[in-house]
Amino acid sequence: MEERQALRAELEATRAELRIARQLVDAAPALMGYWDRDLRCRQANRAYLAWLGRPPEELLGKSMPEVLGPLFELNRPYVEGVLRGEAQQFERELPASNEGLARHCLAHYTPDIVDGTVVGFFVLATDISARRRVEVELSATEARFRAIFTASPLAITITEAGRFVAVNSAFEQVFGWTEASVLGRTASELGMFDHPPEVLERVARGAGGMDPRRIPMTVIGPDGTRRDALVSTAQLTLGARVSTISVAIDLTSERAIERELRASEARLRAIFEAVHDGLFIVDDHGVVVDANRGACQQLGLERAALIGMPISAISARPNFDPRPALAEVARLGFVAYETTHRRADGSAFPVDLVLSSLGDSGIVGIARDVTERHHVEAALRRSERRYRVLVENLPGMVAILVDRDLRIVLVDGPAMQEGFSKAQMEGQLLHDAVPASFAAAVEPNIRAGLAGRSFVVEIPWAEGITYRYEYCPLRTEQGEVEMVLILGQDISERARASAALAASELRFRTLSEASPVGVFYADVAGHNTYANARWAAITARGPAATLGDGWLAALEPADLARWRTFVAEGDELVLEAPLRVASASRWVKLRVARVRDAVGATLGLVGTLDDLTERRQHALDLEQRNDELTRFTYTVSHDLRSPLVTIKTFVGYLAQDLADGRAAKIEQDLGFIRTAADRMSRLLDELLELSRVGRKVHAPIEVSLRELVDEALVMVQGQIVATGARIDLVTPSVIVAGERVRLLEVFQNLIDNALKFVPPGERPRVEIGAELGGPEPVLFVRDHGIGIDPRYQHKLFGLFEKLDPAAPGTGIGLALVKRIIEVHGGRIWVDSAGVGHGATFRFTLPGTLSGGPT
Amino acid sequence: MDGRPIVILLVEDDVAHAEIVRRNLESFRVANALIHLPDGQQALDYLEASSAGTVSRPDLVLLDLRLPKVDGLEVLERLKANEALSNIPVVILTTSDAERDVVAAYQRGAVSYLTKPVDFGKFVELMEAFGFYWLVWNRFPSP
Repeated sequence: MEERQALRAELEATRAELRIARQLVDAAPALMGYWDRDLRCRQANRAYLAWLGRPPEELLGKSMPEVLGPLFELNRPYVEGVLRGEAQQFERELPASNEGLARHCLAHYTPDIVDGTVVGFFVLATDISARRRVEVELSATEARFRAIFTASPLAITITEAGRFVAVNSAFEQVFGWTEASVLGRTASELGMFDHPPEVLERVARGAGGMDPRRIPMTVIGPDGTRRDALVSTAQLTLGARVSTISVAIDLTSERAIERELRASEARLRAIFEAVHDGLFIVDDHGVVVDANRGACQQLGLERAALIGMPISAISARPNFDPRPALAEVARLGFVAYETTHRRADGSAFPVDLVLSSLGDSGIVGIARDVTERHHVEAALRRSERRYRVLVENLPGMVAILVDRDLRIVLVDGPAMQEGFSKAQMEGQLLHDAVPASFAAAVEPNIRAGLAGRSFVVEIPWAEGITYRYEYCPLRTEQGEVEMVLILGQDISERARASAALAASELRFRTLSEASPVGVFYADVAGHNTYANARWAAITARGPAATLGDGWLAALEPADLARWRTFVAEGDELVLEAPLRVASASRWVKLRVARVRDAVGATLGLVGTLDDLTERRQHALDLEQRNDELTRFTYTVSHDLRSPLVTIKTFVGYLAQDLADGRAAKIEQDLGFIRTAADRMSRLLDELLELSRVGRKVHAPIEVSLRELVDEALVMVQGQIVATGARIDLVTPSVIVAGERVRLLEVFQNLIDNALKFVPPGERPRVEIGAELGGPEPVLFVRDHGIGIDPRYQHKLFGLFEKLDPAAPGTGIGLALVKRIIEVHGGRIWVDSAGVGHGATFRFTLPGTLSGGPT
Repeated sequence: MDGRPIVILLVEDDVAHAEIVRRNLESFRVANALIHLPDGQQALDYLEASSAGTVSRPDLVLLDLRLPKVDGLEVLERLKANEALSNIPVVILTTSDAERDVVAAYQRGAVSYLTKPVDFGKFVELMEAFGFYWLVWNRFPSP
């Protein structure tokens, strides 16, 4: 019982211990657990809640992969290791849980071996995050320090109790002592200083932190070189260890650089002062901080006045703002531009300004006075422009300059031949610049030019392309030929145009010469400069006399006045006018126009002259025919109606008189009727005859005048005998041509008339003949009868016209004669000095000739 | 009708036609005188003489157009050009019915244009009407 009680008590005690142990385990700031061989959780403390976010109750019986999630894979090697019976230790970063920060932990896996078999393992993980952070920080600090120590340009040494523990590379380089040769030794042992001991004491003591005071020392290198240095020291106490850190600045190189700088500065200053250009140094605000003598001279200012002046005051530009330029310098390092500066006296001058950055030292400005250059440039530009304008404005031209060495000095112009360029040719020798054949062809020309000759050649360059080259020697002031200027011009177009013009001119001339119309050109003053053959023919002036204005004499005064008005101010003149020419008067149509150029200036006058004489004659003839025909119709209707009226009326009277039995009246009525009927019959016969003569039925034949007259006389034989007339053929030896029967009618009628109209009791005298002296032969029948009153002569040849109503006949005779003559192409007219002076009928018959049987 | 004889100048180259006119006007019992001339020249000569007062001044001229020597239109023109004669009425009596003759006659101052009809009855009728109009009803100015 006691034993049981004791046992129970022991059990109770154990439980209590266990509870305490449990509480201890739960309270531990470490993760504690037990996992069996199957990786099931058997035991877990409260830390699991804090570390993994899950309470331990929840974990019991759960598998490790389930509990650790992705972490398990990372831990797997250690799990496998512990299951093999090997204790594991590793560090692991645990992600942040719901309780806070990520933590860095150190894990221990310890195997639980029972009877040599691993039945499970204990997990203990302690949070080492804080320690780890310190370690990392220290590491970083140390790295930084080490980097500074190593890379510093300052020579640094660390000593403990006077013995070197570290030196950096700068110390090695500056003073020649390697780390290996100094470690563990003192400066005295090494003979590094020869300073008195108190100085060394001061250095060695330091001042607890960096002493701002630097101690000038001389460091002796292993080879004995002495180097000046400024040394500052600091003492550092780490636990029991006291380290001294010394920093040495090598003055030897500093001084050398300074000396170098001083020398350089002096040189630069000398240059600065020596250059003629104006040099300024300006600060970032554009204020002058320094300036050289050149700048002072340029601006006419003392250096003192210039310094402190803003550069906007130097610029002659109104409202000049230097900021964009300064910004540009800051961006690019420098800018260069042309501007204008102002002198103290207010005058301005052009400068080329270069502003370049001096880094922190500001900006240097170099101002070069380019006034002179401007003058030269302007002159050059003018000259060049003149030359350019000249060369570029000569259409189709190229200018070439060749020197005495046959070197092409210049090629320019818009008309460079294809395949040649300015760049290729300039500077080249002739024979290198152009094909050999061409060079050989032009070389004599160039040499002739160099010999001083000026001349022009035309060279066909290729099919359809012709060049005209003008060679001009260019002489020096001494008069020697220095170069030859060759002005080449593509005259292909001109050559073609000229050929086309020549062809056109030929066509025109041919056309003009062949023209059936007179053509002429006159100058501004109206003097002919050209006239074609037809014009010469119309104006009856020989080809030699066509020029000038002599022909104007042929115009009527009124027409001449119109011509003169036209020449003075007219644009066109159209004139139908008579033209008095050598033999006769011609009727012409003159049409002249003023020819103007593009701007309206008169180039000349061009005119045509058309001979309308024949046309006009035909028109007049036609008019006359027409009149005749009208008159004929009228006459016929009137003259045929008259007897008809008589007959009808007197038949009426006859009926009345018969009814009334008035015998005397009846006789009178019948007499009128008979006369009218006879007359009508005769009129009809003669009209028929007249219509017959209007038609040519027989071919014309040549017959002698004598033969015709003899035959006609036979036909009027009765009247000749009755009147005792005397008829003479005065010009027997004449041949006439025509229709024989009609010609006979002509002579018969004319002789009949001549015998008829003679004063009563007088013996008719008639002469028949021809006048052969004039332009055309004229035949005539002349009588010495009663003559014809000039007032009625125009009615003489009219149909049924009778000057004397009492005379026998119907008045058709002369109408018939006129018709026959006209049908034969001739004319008939009458000449009579008036009543009592006889009459001469004259007519022409084409084909009338002198000659034939007499 | 003041009883003064009316003088008619007939210019007509066709004697038959002159006879017709004469016969027709004979029937009018008015004291009138008919002077017949066969060509234009004689008519002009008569008129010239009448303006000089040597022959009777005609009250009316009866004029044919187609006349020997000087034709009717010229006679008319010259009559109208003579101030002393220009108020004498001229009546054209002709065989022509050409429009141009009609126009030319009136242009030159004719007061009437009559075409001779180719018909006895009509010719007689025309002359009757002419006689009544000119010799009975018409009044002429005093010379």
